[in-house]
Amino acid sequence: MAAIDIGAHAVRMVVAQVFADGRIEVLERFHRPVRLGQDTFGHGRLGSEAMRTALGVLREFRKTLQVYQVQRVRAVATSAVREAMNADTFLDRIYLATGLNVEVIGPTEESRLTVSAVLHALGQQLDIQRDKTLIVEVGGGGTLLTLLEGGEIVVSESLRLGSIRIQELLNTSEEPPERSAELVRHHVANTLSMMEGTLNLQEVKVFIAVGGDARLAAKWAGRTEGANGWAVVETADFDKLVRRLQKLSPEEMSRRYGLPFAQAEMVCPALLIYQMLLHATDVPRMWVSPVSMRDGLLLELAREVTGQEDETVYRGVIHSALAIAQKYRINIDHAEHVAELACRLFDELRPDHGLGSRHRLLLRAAALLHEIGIFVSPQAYHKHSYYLVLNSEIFGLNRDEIVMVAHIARYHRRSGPKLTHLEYMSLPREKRVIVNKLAAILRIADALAGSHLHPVRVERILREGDELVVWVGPGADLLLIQRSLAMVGDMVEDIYGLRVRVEES
Amino acid sequence: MAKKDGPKDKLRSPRYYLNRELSWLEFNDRVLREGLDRQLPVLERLKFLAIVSSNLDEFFMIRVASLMQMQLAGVRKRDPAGLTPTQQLQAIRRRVRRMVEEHSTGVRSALEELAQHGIQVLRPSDWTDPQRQWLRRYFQREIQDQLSPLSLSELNPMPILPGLRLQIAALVIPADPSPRAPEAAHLVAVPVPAKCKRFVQLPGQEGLTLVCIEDVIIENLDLVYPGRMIKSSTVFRITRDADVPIQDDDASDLLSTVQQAVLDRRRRQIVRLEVSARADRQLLKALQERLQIAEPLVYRIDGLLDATCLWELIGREGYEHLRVPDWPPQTPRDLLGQENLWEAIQDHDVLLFHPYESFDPVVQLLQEAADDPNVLAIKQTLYRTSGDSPIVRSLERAAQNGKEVIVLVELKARFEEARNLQWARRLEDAGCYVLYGLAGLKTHAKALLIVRREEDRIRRYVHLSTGNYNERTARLYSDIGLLSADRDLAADVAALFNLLTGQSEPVGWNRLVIAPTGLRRYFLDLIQREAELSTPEQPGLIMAKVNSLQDAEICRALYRASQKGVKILLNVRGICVLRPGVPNVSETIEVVSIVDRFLEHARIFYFHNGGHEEVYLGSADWMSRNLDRRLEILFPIVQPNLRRRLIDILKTFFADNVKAWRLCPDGRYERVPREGEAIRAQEWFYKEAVAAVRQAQQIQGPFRPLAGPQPQ
Repeated sequence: MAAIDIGAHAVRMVVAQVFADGRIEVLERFHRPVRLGQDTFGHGRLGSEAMRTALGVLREFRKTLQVYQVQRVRAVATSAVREAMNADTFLDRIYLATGLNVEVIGPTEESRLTVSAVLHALGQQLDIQRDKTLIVEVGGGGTLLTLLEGGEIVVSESLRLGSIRIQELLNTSEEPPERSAELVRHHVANTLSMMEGTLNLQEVKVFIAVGGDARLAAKWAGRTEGANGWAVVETADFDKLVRRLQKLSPEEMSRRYGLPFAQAEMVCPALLIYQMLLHATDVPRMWVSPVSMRDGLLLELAREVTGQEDETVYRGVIHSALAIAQKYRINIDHAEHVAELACRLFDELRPDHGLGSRHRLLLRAAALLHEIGIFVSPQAYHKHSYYLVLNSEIFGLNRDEIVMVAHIARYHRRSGPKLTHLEYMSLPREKRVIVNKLAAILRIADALAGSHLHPVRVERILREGDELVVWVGPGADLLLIQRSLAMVGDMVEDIYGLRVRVEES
Repeated sequence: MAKKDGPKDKLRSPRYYLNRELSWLEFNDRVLREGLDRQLPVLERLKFLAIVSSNLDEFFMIRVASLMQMQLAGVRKRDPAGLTPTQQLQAIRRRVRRMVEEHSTGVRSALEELAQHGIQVLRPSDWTDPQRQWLRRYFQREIQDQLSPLSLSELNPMPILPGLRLQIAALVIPADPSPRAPEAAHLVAVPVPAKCKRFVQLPGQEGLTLVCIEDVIIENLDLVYPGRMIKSSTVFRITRDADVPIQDDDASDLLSTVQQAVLDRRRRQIVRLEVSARADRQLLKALQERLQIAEPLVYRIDGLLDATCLWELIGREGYEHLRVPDWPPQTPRDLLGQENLWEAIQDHDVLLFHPYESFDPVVQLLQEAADDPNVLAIKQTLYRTSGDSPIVRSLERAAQNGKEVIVLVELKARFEEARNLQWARRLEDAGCYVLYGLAGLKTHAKALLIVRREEDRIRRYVHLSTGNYNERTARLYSDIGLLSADRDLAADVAALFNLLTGQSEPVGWNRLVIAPTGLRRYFLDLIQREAELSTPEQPGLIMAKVNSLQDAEICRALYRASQKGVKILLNVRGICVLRPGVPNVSETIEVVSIVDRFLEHARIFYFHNGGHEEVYLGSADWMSRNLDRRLEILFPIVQPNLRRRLIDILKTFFADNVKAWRLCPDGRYERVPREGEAIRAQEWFYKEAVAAVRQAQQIQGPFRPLAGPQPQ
């Protein structure tokens, strides 16, 4: 499998193999400088020269993929393409030339992928369960900040503050070189001040830097920590390094450190941003992660291959969904009860739906969120739930998956999907099938759960012939359950060919 | 980071450095000592004598030539030892004259000894009449047609005399000069045909009776110039500047640049004239004048010119009693009892210590890879290899079998350009992707990567070595290779090839250290770390084995470490500009050199590192050109048993007291005194390799018949 990342100043690829136990071995990493960001951030369009170069690189990547007989490739593009007016043309050219389907991803998705890679790579060195942790990635086009509390993502911010943007800023300014660092500082400080309030950097105890420039800093001024590639740079050493590098021109830097010129030019602006953030947090040292967003992409691909779910990501999704549920003040107990029932039903019906653990996760998230629409109005609240979910960010799920969760939540009551439902019909067919299967399960789970005040205890769920028999605990209002089921059960019968029967045990 | 040394650094003082050219000459002198060592069988001695000659040829073509260029350009820049180019040339020539004299004496006495064993080389004065007649017929039949006599008279444009080839010079006059117009003597040159062997075998004698081809031509020169009289004649040889800086800023055109360079080499400046000591004064004077060769460039040889011809004698079949006993390469210790090479490498890293251990596994790996349908790709650097080698054939076949084959051919390997071009083309025709190196950087790293699909995974096999992919030199050079399936190392080697092919910028290395970007810094840091960790109670230890130590910055780092009390043992075969044993500078540094039957070629580095010992192997010497202008690799040996073994190997080199020389503070070398048991490192390694094989056979021999009592 392989992950390709079309970034602001480089096109990169990681080729890896995944084993049955989910272990990933990186075979090769490719890094080719392509200055896509410069034109986008300067003129809002990708330049033709840069596009041509990028296409050439991707063609070569394609060849490598053939040599390794790679089956699964995920290619993504970030800010430089995302913000370009002519992105579609570029993506189309890539597709025609290489057959690669490049997905343009947003900052949240970038963050999510990076964080999942970082968490996965984390050894025993850091206690992120205990300490508030800030993960920072300075890219060419932007800086991503993610705050973790108790190991879960609480805030994710994207600053329009990247090394290329800074470089552009410097190039357009008429300032003499010695003033330029000051200018960058000022600009960074300004941008940081804008996000005060959402992110209290003072409370951060652990600072994790992600990205190639940070890794260079670690090589020059840090030490490795543990065997898995992590490094640590003391803040004081980092300051010294930045001071030293600032005195060098990119030419000198490229010569002295053996860097390609294009990279040498970007290091200083990038490190300045890290430095400003580091000082804003007051931590004594910076941890430098050996992994990047591409490793996050690989993790996801690996999951597709093995069908195994990464525990931390799994917990992240649930945590994030619960946070949203709380935000819309729904009855959490009920939501969790429904979610639990839905999962039990899902497991029991496994032979019938043939879906995997990732889908189970989507079902669970939808179950947790199915009632949030009530916050807007109890009238047709499933429709409100739909758009609220659709416009939320659930960490650990990508955009496509969030859309599916929104649909599952929407179809948990009243009408099932219809040809006239435009949003539903715009889903690809295989996704519509999954939505149907999962929404049907959610419906029964909701019906079986009973009311908020009188939750029903379900003892056993058993598939018998063409019936699904549910044994409920004593004292449950069987009549009520049956009535609820009658309102929703038709969808289950349609899809699974099963009737639901409730028995008191 | 290492302390910045300013220009006023005391350690830059010339008195702490030896001149590299003179140091190299001392190396060649050690080779010569082997050639003069009467304890060695005579054919073995001839080998060393031949090597001394070819070494000197290269030295003149490259080193002397470049100094002469500097002198010509008026460059007065002093070397680290404080000598100007002119001073260096003077010192070199003085030293070479002494060496040439001893060498000639050595050759003469070796040939005399050979005669006692039935191999006679007869000079014309020894020829009998029947022999003379037979040789005259032989000359007419076999040689005369191939001759292209050249006139060197002033009237004609100066022809291009080939470099390095034996030639006959003669003064010819009309047979009956008319007294009215006495014609001046006419200078001619007759190159000895390149295709002719040096020694002509006389028929029907007992034993082997040989004569030199130049003598046959000289004695029959009258047949070449009928109607003239040969006033005097001699054999001579010129050496030309071959130090062609190949301009390869644009690598795409490197192929034609190299072709052009090979052509140009024919007409470059003459840097040496060797001539028979018996040459007539008038003839020599005419030759010198016509070729514009100043006196200091002339070397008069009393005996054989161009002793590289001795290889013809050495290569003769038979005469085993005149040779050293064969030491056939053994099955490598790490592969003993292993049936399947691939599985063995999966199981553990394999160290190959050539030539005591066989190079065959590498060849075999490539041969199997070429035909293995599961092999997806093969990538390899080739520096000096032979065109008909099984390695090149395997690569060809692999490409024909549809695998991705990437070969980095270093065309700039000196003197082999023309040969390299041929098989590089052949590889291309077979469908290999052939690269001709990086612009401005000679690729000296030796690396092989094989990508193989196994069941449901990809596994990669690497071979890294201190020596070239040449199965022939692998029997003569002492090198160390590593076969490994280690993931981190494989990823690095894959990245190395991506860098070489321009497919990727460097992406950070797990294990490898690469020149020219990081290697110098890395060495300096390792040396400095050793200095920092060194305490009076527990002094640091550095052991290094390289071919040459010429880089002044490395020397300074070693001096600084020595000043901190670090014990430094250097095994430097050739050039060493570091001056050991200088009080307060290099007191703790010891330099030894081993010259024995195999050419010492491995580069091994050891750092005590406060007890966390580190051992590295690499392709680079401690020379500026290796650290700054070549693509080189250094790789750590991480498997503990292999690290242990390499430390033992290093220690054995320093224990040698048979073939080891110690560098004295004044730049001279003296034999390491023998105290107690004689230890000869190369012999030790060979016996160890044999013992390992024997031991394995004993352990493993379930099917060997037991020598027991006969059953009733």
